[in-house]
Amino acid sequence: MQDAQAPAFQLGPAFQVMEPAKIVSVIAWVMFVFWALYTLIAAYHWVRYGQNSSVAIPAIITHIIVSLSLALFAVSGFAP
Amino acid sequence: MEEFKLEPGEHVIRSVRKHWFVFFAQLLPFALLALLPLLIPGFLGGLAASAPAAEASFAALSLANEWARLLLGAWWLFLWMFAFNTFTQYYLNRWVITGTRIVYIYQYGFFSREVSSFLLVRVQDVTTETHGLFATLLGYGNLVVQTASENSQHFRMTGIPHPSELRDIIMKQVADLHDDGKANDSNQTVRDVINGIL
Repeated sequence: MQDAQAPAFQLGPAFQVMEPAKIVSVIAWVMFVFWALYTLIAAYHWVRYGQNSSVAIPAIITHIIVSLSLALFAVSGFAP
Repeated sequence: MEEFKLEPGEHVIRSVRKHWFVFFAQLLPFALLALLPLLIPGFLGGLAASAPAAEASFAALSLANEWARLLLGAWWLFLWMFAFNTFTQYYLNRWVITGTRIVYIYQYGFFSREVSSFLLVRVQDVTTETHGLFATLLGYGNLVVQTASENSQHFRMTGIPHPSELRDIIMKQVADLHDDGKANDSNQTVRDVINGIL
């Protein structure tokens, strides 16, 4: 019975007035922080445990290039 | 080498990783998951034919929509990171066979790593396993090495190329170490290496 009296769910006012550019900015920052942490950790493992392999640096560079390309694709629709 | 250092007189005979097919098989789910969003517009297009009222909503999910591109790009970026993680694990996992020992390096994940080293003179049994069509055709399988120490241990590496060839190399090295004819020459070197390791 109490459920019937409960108010309908609504987004908070902050979400209702938020501009798409700000939402994209927040999402992009979250993605970048997660990606940067991952890249640092992966690069550390490659350099530390890669046994001075010639594959280590090209692998890290490839990872960065592909990641940045995908990130650019993701935000390309919002370009000014 | 960071995990272990070669002793004087010790040399690397073979270093092996998993077979390339095993690696690509591990990447396959990521490729399928990456393609999945591209199939959604076609699927929704079929639904739109039966529900014209929803056609405008479905059309918004095309790549022309900036939000769809944002989600798709983020999805692909996450998949790429997981796939790169798979490659990192593939490359850092390996077996190193030297003239006196086998070093087993296994990267479970970031900050989780196991390095085992056991002497060839303690090897008691080497077993190869090949199961399945692809493994038989492409020549990969498992290698199990059992040590003869008090706490007998099994070391298993799965999906390595040409396991029989590797087994023969290991058994040849073990035989050389036990060979009386070479005892005078090699045992001193082996003893020095073993003393250095122990």
